[in-house]
Amino acid sequence: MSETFFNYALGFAVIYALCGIIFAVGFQLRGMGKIDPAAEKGTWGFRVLVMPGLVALWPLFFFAYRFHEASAFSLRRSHRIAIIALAVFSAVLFLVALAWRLPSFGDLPVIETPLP
Amino acid sequence: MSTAYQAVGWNQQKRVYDLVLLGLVLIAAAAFGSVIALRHPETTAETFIIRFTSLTAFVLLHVTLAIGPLARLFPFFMPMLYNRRHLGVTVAVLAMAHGIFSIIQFHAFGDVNPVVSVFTAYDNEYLAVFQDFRSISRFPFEIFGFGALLILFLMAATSHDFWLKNLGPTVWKRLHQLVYLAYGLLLAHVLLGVVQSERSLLFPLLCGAGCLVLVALHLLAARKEHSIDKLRNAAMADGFVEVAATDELSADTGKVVVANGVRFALFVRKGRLFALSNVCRHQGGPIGEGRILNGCITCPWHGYQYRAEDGCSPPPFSEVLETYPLRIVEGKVFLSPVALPPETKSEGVLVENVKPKPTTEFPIGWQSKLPSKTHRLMKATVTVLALAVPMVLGLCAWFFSPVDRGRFEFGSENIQRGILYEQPVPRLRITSADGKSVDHILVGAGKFGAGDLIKGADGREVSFTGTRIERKPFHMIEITRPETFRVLDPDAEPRPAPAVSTLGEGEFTGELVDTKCWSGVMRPATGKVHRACAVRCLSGGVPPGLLVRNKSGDGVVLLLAAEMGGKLEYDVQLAARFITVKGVLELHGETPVLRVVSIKTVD
Repeated sequence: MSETFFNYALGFAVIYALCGIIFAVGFQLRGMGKIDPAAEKGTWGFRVLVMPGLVALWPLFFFAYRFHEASAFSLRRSHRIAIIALAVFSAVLFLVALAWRLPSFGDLPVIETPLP
Repeated sequence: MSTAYQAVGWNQQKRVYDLVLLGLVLIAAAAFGSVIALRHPETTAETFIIRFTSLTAFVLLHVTLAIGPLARLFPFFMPMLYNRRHLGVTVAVLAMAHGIFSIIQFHAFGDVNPVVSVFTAYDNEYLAVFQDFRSISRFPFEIFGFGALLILFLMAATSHDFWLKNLGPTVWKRLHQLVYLAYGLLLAHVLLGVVQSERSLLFPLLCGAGCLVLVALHLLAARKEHSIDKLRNAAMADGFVEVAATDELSADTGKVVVANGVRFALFVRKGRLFALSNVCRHQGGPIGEGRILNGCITCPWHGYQYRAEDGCSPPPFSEVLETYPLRIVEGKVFLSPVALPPETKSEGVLVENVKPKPTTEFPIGWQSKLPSKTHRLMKATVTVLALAVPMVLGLCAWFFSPVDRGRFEFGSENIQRGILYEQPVPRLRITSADGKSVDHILVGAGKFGAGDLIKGADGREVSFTGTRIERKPFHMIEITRPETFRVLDPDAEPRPAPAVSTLGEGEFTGELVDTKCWSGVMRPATGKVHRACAVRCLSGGVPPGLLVRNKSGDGVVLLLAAEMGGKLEYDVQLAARFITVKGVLELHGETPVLRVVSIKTVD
C-alpha cells in the first residue's frame, strides 16, 4: 500500500516539476522583468542560477502570492524557539539512538556446528 | 546592491573566500582519501564518494551554522558571514552528490523505482515503532536524509538576491531558518543510520560534540539578543521614548536602541543625530551596529548603504529605510516610534558631547582588503579550519569498520559454460581442465536473481555471457547478457544433481544478507546502512544468506533454501536484521545450504 502511495506521490512530484519547468521558461522570457526590473537585464548566469528555484516555487509566482512581512523581533523569537527545539530534540535522539543501539556482528552467538 | 542581476557579484573577498573553501574541500578529500587508501584499500569508488561527500557536507554544515552566532558574539567573524551563502551552497551540492550516489547505489537497478524505494524499502518499521518504541533504532533513516536534502536544495536554489527581494526578507529568512529543521533531520539520519552500523564510539562522540557546540553558541547569541529586547524605557506624554544619553553616542558610529520593544538605529553624522530602522532591507542585518563609510550608513553584514538624512540608498539603488523623529532634552535622547513618511528629508538633531569615532576595525565584504587585525584573525581561523576539517574526516576514515571483502569483476564479461542446477538455488557447475568441479551461484544483473531465464534447464549444459563474483566459500556469476543464454544439449538426458552431505540440524542465529552484495558487489554489504539495498536484492530474487559466526569468530554465510525444495517463502524486509533460523544444514559441493524450517527475529 505504501508503495502505491509513494508511486502516486512521485508521479505528482514529476508533474509538478514539469509544470515548473514550463512556467520557469515562460517566466524567464516574459514576466520576470515585470515583477523585478533588475531581473530583466540579468545575465545568462543569473537566469540559469534561479531556474531550480523557479521550478521548485513556481506556484508563488504563478498565483502572484504576496507575503506579509513579519517584525525583526518575531524572526529572532522563531530563531530562539528553533534552537531550543533542536536542543531538546537532539538530546532525546542521542539518548534513544544509543540506548537501543542495534546489535553488531560481534554480538552474534558462535555456531558450534563445524562450518566449511 | 546591483541594478542588474549577475550569477555572482564577484569581488576580491568573494574570490578569496571561494578559493579558501575549495582548498578546504580538496585538503579534506586528500586527508580522507589517504587514510582510506591506507586503512581500507578495498573500499569501492562509490562508497568513497558516498562517505566523503556526506562527512564533508555535515562538517561544513556545522561551520556554516556556527558563523551566525560567532559573528553576533565576536564581530571579527563578520567577514565569514559576508559570503556564507557560498559555503551553504557547497554544503547543498555535497549533500546532493551524497544523496544521488546513495540512491543509485542502494536503491537503483531493482524491482521498485529507486526514489519510491527510499521510502518503502523496509516500510514495516514505520508502524513497528508504535508497537515497541525500542525499535526506533531500526526506523528507516533514509527518509530523514531525503527531507534534509529537500530543504538544503530549496535553500541553495533561493540563495540569490533575486529571491531575497521577491520573496521578501521575512519569507526568505523563514525559509532559510528551515536549516535548523534540516540539521535535526540530518542528526536523525546519522544517529539512526551510520551510528547503528558502525561500532566505533567516535561517530556519536563527534556528532554530539558538534551539536553541543552549535546549540551552545546559538543559545549564547540568543541570550545576548534577548537582553537587548527586554530593555524598557520611560515614555513622554506625546509618545516620545527615552532611548539613550548623548554621552553614549560616538561620531560616525551606530547605536542600537529599543523603544516599545522595537529596535532602532541612532547615528551621529557631522554633529547631527538621526534615527532609522535597525533592520537592513537586504537580509535584516543590524543597521545600528554599522558605521558611516563614504558618508553613508553601512550595514555590518553585507555593506548595504543608506543616507542618514532620508534613509534612502544612494543612486542607482532603491532601498529605503524608515526614519524617525528625535529630540534631545538635558542630554537625553527621545525617539518617537512612529515613522516619518518614506524618504522624508530630515536635518537631524544637533548633538554635543559625543565620543570620537572608535578606532576598532569595521570590516566590510566589498572592501578590496580586510583591515589588518581582522585579516590576521581570519588567517588564524582559516588555519584552524584547514587543520580541523581534514582531521575530523581522517579520524572518521580511520575508525570506519573494515569493509566487506570479495571480488567483483565488474566490466569483465566472459562466456560461462557448465551444468545448470535449479535447486536448492540456481547454480552452474563448472568443471575446469584439471577435472575439478566448482558450483557458481547464478544471479541476474543489478538487484535481480537469475529469474525465469534458467527455468527448464535443470541438469543441462548451458552457456551464457556473465561476470564472475567471488568471496569464499561462494563463487557467483552475474548473467550480464540474458540473450546469450543457450541450452547446449536440449535433447540429452538431464544430469543428476551432485551428492549432498548433511552437516547437522538446529538453530542458527545470524544476519540475513543478500548473497550477491555479500560476495563482493557491495562494500559494505551488511548492517543497517545496507539494509535497503539488501531488501531490494532479495525482493528481486537474489538468493538469501545467513551470516553467522564460526568458532574462530569469522563470518560465514549459509545459503537459505526451502525445506522441501521450491521457492523459499520469507519476509524480505528482514534483511540486515538478526534472525534465528531453524533448519537442516547441508553441504552442496563447497556451498553450505541451510534448509529452512522456521525463521524468527531476535534483535
